[in-house]
Amino acid sequence: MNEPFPSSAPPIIEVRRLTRQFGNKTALDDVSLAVPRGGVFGLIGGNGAGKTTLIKHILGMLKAHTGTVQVFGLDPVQNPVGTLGRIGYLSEDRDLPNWMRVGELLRYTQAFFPTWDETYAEELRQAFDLDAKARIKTLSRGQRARAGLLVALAHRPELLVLDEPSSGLDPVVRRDILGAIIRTIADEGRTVFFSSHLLDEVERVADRVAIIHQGRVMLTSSMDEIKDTHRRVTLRFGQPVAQPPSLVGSLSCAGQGAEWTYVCSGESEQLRRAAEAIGGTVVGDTALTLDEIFVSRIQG
Amino acid sequence: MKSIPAALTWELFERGKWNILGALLTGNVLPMLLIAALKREGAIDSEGSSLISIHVTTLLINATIFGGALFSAMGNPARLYAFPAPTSVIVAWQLLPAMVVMALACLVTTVAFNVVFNLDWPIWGPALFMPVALAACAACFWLTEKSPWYTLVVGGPVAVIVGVWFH
Repeated sequence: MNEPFPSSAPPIIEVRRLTRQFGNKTALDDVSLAVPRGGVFGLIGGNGAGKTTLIKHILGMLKAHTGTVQVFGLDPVQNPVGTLGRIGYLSEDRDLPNWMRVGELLRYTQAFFPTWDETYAEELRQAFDLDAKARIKTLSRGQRARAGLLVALAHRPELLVLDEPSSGLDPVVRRDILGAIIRTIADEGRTVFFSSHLLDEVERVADRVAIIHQGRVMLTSSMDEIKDTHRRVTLRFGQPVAQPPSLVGSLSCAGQGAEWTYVCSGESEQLRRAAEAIGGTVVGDTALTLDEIFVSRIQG
Repeated sequence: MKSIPAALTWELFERGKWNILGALLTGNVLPMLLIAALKREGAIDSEGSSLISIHVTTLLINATIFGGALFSAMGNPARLYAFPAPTSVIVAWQLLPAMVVMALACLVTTVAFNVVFNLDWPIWGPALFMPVALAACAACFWLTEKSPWYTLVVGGPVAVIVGVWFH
C-alpha cells in the first residue's frame, strides 16, 4: 500500500445518519459509516439487510431521505460526474447489455470514462479469458461477472464498488481472480468497497468490515480488531448450575452442568476478569471466525 | 468510441437496426398495398376527404410501429445511471438520434407516398410532429415508469396536448 492502513486521509466514503424507506419498509435505519482511503472494506449482511440500497446511495442512484452521503467529499447525487468517474462499479445482477459483444461493450463503456486504459482493458480481457467477439447473452454467469468486473476496472478507478461480486463465480475464479484483483487494487493504494454474504471470502480479503442487519449497521471495525474482541470462552464453575450466570459482553451461551461456553465480545483479559467475577474459571479461549461472529451478532 | 453522444447514437442504431428496418417496411408496405388496391378500383377521390382519412391513418400506423421500434432501441435509461455522465447529456443523446430518425422516416415515407401515388401530402408538419410526440412519450415514460398513477397523471395532459396538435 502507498499509505499506511487505515489512512490518515479523510474517508473516501462517509455516510451519516442515513435513513431510507420504501413505503412502510425501512431499508436503511440511521446508518453511519466511514470507509477510509485505501484498503478493502467488506460490507456483510444477509439477503435484504440493506447492502444494495446502501451501495445505491453511495453511487448517487438513490437520494437520501434523511442523512448525508459523501464520496470523495462530494455528494454523489449533486455531482454524479465528479464521483462516478472515479468509481468502478459491478452490480449484483450484472446488468450488461445482452445484445452487445464483449469488444463492443469495452468500446462503448470507454466513451463514458476519460481515464479508460485500453491496454489494461485488453490485458484484463485476456486474463479473464473473454472472447472479444462473444455476445454477452452467450456468456455464462461467471463470464458475465468477469465482463462486468473488466469494465469496472479498466478505467483504473480510485474506488471499486462491488455488489456481491462472487455471485455466480466458481470457487477457483473467486479465489484466484477476484481475490487477486481486490488485493492488487488495495495494494496500489486504491479502495475496494464490496458487499458479500460469503463471509470466508470477506475474512480472506477485507481489512475492515461492517455488519449490516435489517437496515442497521451493527458493527464496524478493522478485521483484526473484530477478531481480537470476539472470543469463545468456556467457563468451569465450582458446581453445576441450572442457568449460566450472565457474563459481561456475552452474545450467546450454551452448555450444561458446571461447564458453559460463551460467545463474547471483549478481549481475552477482560473476559478472564469478568469470568472470575462471576465465580468461573476460563478453561478454553478461542478466536471466532467471521462467520461465527456474524451469526452471534445477528442472533444476539 | 470517444464520446458519449457517439456511444449512445451507435447504441441506438446497433441495437435497433433490424427493428427500425422492419418497422419502416411494415409501416409502409401495408398502407401502400391498400392505397394501390383502392386506387385501382377507383375508390379514392383524390379531391375528397377520404384521402385525408387515409393520410391520417397511415401516419398513425407509421408513428405507432416506428415509434415502438425506436423506443425499444433506446432502451431503459436506468442502465446509464452508474456512468459518469450528466443527466442532461444522457437524456439529450437518448432522444436526439431517435428524433432525427423519426423525422427522416416521416420525410421519406411521405415523399415515397407522394411520388408513388401522385399525392400532395404535407411533408414538414408530420416530420416535425412525430419526433416531438416520440420525445414526449419517452420523457413521460422515463419520468413515471415507477408508478402507473404518475403515468396517468402526467401522461394524460401530455396526450391531450399532443392530440390537439395532431388534430
